[in-house]
Amino acid sequence: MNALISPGVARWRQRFSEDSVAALDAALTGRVSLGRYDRARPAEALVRMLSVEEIALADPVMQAWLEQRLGKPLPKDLSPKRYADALVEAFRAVQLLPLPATRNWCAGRHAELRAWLRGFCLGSSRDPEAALLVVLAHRQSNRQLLFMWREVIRRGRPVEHVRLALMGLRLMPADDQGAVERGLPRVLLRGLLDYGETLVKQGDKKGKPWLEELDFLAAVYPMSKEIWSRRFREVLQAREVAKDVHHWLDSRFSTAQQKHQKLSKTKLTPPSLDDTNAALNRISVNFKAAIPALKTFFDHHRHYAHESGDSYYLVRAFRRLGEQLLDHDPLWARELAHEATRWEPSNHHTWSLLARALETEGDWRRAEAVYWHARRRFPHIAHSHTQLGHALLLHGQEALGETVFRQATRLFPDNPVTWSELGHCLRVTGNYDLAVNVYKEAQQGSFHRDPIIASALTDTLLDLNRSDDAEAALQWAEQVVPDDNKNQQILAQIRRRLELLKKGAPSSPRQLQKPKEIAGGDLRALADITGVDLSHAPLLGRAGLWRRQGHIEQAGMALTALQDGSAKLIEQGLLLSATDWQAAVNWFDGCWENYAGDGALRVHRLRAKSRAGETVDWSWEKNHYPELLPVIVTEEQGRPPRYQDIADPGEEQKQALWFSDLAGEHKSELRDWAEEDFLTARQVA
Amino acid sequence: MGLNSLPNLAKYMNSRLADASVDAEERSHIENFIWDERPPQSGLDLYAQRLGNGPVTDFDDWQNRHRNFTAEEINLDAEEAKQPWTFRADNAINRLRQIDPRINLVRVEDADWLCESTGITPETLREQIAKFQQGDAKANTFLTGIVKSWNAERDQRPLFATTELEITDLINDNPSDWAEQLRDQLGLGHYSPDSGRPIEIILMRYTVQEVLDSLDGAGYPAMPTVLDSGMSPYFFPSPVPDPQQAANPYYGHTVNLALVEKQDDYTMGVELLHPRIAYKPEHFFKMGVIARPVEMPLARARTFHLPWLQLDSGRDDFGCGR
Repeated sequence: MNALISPGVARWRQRFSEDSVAALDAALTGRVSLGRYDRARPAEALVRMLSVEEIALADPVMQAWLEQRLGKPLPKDLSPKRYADALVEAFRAVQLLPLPATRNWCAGRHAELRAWLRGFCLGSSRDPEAALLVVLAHRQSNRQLLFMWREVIRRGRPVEHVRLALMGLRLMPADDQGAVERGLPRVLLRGLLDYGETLVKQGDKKGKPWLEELDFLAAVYPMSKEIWSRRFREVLQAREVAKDVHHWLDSRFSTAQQKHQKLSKTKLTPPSLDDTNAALNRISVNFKAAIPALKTFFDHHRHYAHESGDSYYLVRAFRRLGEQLLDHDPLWARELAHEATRWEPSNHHTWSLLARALETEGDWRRAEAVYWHARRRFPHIAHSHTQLGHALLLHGQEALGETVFRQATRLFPDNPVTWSELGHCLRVTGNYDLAVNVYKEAQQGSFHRDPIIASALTDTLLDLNRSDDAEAALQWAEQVVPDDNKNQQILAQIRRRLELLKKGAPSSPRQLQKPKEIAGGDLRALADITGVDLSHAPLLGRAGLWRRQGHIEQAGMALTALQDGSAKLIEQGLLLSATDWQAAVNWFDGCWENYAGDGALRVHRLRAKSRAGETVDWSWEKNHYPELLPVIVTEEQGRPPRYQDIADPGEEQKQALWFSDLAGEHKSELRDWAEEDFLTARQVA
Repeated sequence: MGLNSLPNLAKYMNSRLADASVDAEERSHIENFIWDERPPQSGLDLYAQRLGNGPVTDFDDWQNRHRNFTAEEINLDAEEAKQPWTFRADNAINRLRQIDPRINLVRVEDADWLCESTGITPETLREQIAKFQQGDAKANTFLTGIVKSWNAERDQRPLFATTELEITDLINDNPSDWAEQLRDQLGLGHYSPDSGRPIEIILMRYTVQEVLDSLDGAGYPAMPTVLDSGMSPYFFPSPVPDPQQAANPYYGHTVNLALVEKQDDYTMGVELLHPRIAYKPEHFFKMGVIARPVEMPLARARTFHLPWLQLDSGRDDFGCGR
């Protein structure tokens, strides 16, 4: 090429040869003139000026540039908009140049990158995560990103990300060896149907965006209506979809079963639930002998999920068998739980199994982190609280465990498990009188006929050697405990204890045995499902608990040990708010731009302003973070929005319903807790 | 431009102009700022605010600060409530209110990212545009899907365009290098594939009326100034004409980058700025490839451009102050 030399380009290239990272940084952030390309986007400028040799050098340099920034806040010398632009340009450059090593690195760190980039999105034209998704969609060498595409689709928003995820499914290879997909991928059809279901859960009745995607794909894959119908029928035979989605689909392609319908030679049959039951039986009869069959069973589920994009059967089977495997092979159970969580990160059961498998292995550090993460992610599930409390109790953190249980009884006053677990915690820590009080409070409240509370109260009175009270409690327990083997065995044991007490030979109260703990695995190995550094979860969780208990100093100390991040900034602000909302406003004003795209941080800032008496304009947050609307509306109107029950709510809808109930309580403290927990859950999801 | 409100910038410019070693690109930027008469004082004040305090240390420093202005006042996200500075009341003086709403405007867009971000090849896009133009309904659906994705990620930055009238001959003649000729005529020096990798472009065509409608009937195009976009050495400000000798032109003047040796062979192109419009399938006009880098030396192009501009505006004094 006989190009004229642009002085600005020549200067930059010289700089690039001398200090390539600094030169690339300057180009991406717009802190340098690129000569004739000054008006082009930086990524386009790089494409137009870099030689083949320079592109080869740019690849590791770009990776290093991203690595240096990953997980960190806004650089001090750039505005949020400029930084968002720089990040978008970085991923555009990875795609356009192209930079294969950086692309592979991105694919390997996709969860962390996405969680981090979300903090810098300032609208759809300044959305670094979207630019990353474009990179990930192209040149996929296997199907390892299938999980991610499905998760993006299931979130359902923003719609631009859903479109990119559908593109990711469209461009995915036909197998894990990278074979080119020549046909219409089943996983794409499943993805499209999943998107429809998400829209239905979000309350969409007409499905306009869904039909637009369907129409676009129909234009991308020119086929007769009959073939389209048949392909959808095959997918629907494996698993049906919501009625509304079916209607939308039928408005384009008839999916009604036809007589003499030709079955595709490649028709996929979903695994049978009977097979799961049979596998469970095999484990209980002879685990070792069952191993080969179990491996085949799991592989069959994997094959179906990868081919169909439908994880329904895999997640349920892995979870059920994982539970069973906990006693036989916790490592295997953990691997199954991890895999199932990768497929459905919004399924709290899989997180629970993962935590318990880690704990059973003795990997307490990772188990603790996962328990706390589950508590943060699923605040609407009482089990995520009680399970955490129980684990803390077992592992020598009795006071913290008790606090978790006490707060759980506030958050879920109608759930007997929270009460019985609190009582249990007090009992096994030797606080028998307090335990009795808790059981009695529960009994006098909503749980007069709860068998577990009745039995536990009796047992605790026996611990206190109060035989008369225990006898009375036993009579009550005998009335309410069901007539089944398990419960009757418990009663029988209590009776024996009572007899021994009466004979003057009381049995010893139950003692906790600390489980084994080994040097655990790497928390980073879980980053593919969390996207964030899980080592922060326990400290963040403790800080929040202590703050709510009024232990401000203790909470502050927990935070000092944390690395910077938006979750830490939020907790620091809340800590200040405990005594002075204006101090919290000042704090949030000073730091919110570090993660200007983080919806939870922005809402916390405005919430603090509102609480401090300032007039607040919520319009930007309302438009950009519809998933945070329950809190925004509550802050704006002083009461939570009312939601109608829907047939098959997703995680987001369940959380909104829980929030609405809790924040609607008259106690302002509970409203605060609900808001904080809801925002945290949306932030870590 | 009255640089009183930009003393740090003025100081930097004066010192650089006194330096004989300043290169053609930096000189162009400085000249553009000194010569541009059109930005109103309120725009300059806003620019000064975004430029910040402290001396401008070098050209990169100025570029960096200029980008603070464009990031905050020009390249706004589509969902931001405020308009780019170009289309605010402050800049009313540079809006083109007489333009005939029936005429077509044409804009050059880079096709590479569009294709990558929608998972299609330029060949597919070209094919679908051709089918659409022959009335194929499926191509319409296809292009609707494409523009939906594209529009979503486009910000509100003012769009440079030319009039179809200005390029009709080139389009009708359809020479094999029409895309490169168009790039040159419109002064799009940043569309220069110096690395050797050709640039796929798309011409988008739409009416002035559609542009007007983008802001509820008030989306009048604007004369480009140095404040309306990222800095470009290929930009050249248009003077306010002498009312006794020339009418206020309804367009800006592009620096033609076609390689010519003599000033007499030089012709200026036409450009204007308009607000963002949401693209529709019918706006896809033509696709082309730019494979030849820019060949016209910048300094020569600007040297040829200025006298023509002076003549056109009846302003012999324009561009004399350095």
